[in-house]
Amino acid sequence: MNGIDNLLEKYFNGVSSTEEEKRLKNYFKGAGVLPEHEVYRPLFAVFNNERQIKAPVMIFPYKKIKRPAFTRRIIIPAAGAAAVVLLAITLSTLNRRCPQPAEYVVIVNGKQVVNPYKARQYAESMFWEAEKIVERSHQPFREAADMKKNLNAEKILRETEQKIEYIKTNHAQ
Amino acid sequence: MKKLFSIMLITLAFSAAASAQQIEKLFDKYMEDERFNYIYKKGSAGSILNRTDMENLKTDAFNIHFKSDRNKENEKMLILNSSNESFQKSFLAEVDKALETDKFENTSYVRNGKSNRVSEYVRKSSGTLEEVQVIENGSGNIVLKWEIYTVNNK
Repeated sequence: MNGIDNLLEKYFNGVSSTEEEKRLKNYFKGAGVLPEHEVYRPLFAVFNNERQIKAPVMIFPYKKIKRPAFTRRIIIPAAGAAAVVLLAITLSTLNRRCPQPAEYVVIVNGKQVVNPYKARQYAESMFWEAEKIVERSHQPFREAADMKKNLNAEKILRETEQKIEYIKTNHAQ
Repeated sequence: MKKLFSIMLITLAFSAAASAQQIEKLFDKYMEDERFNYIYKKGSAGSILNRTDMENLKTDAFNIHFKSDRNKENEKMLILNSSNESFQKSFLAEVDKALETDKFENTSYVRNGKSNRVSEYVRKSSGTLEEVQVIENGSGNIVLKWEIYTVNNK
């Protein structure tokens, strides 16, 4: 398996091509991995766990708009504006503190989601999706750290020593 | 005296405008753009422990009381949904430039597959910690996430 050794050497020197890396991945995915190459299997197993990162699915909250009658179109905005002015005057005299921003603000394709419940639901699901993507991207780091822990030279030497000792004792009997 | 006070006020307003963060400007620029989704969440609203909190905690136990040394002020996200590759590239270039100008430090970069990337950036200043994540999935989705924390000095 000189070919695999060469590929491994190139891989660890950082000069392997995508095609060569693919060959290595396929080799370690298969059943015919030679014992001397077993030590590298966890490394390539990590790469096999690579998944496609999917960005959050966009859900557009549709809203039906009814055209109101002409009188309503005039009276309602006027009444609304008057109410807003009155409210603003009352609030400014009663409370001079700065207004607090809303807890959730969601604007989908240029249109604000006005229903606070929908905005909250949408925001929470989007932040959760993004957190999951970032969390998933850290998975290879964690697996590599575990692998490093398992590739402890002292531990391997100690275990090999124990094996040799065991063989020696068995042969002596 | 009045004149002096006015000049001071104007200078203050100008310096505040000039020091406004580039990353903030980017959010302001695109939050109402039809190609984007914008999401803002005030920190205290329904907050959960995130990855850093979990790493600090080093436990998987449930129903525990945990007081983090940082409080999330707010977090916001811009999600680009566009198949226009040149716009994707120009948006990413704007993000990179803003992060560089605002002196964010790149803490991790994960390339997963051909065009899936997750990059993380951090900026610390007195009493404030900011984290930015840029997620690209190569099919027109780019997510820019910005979290702001106040840090309690122990």
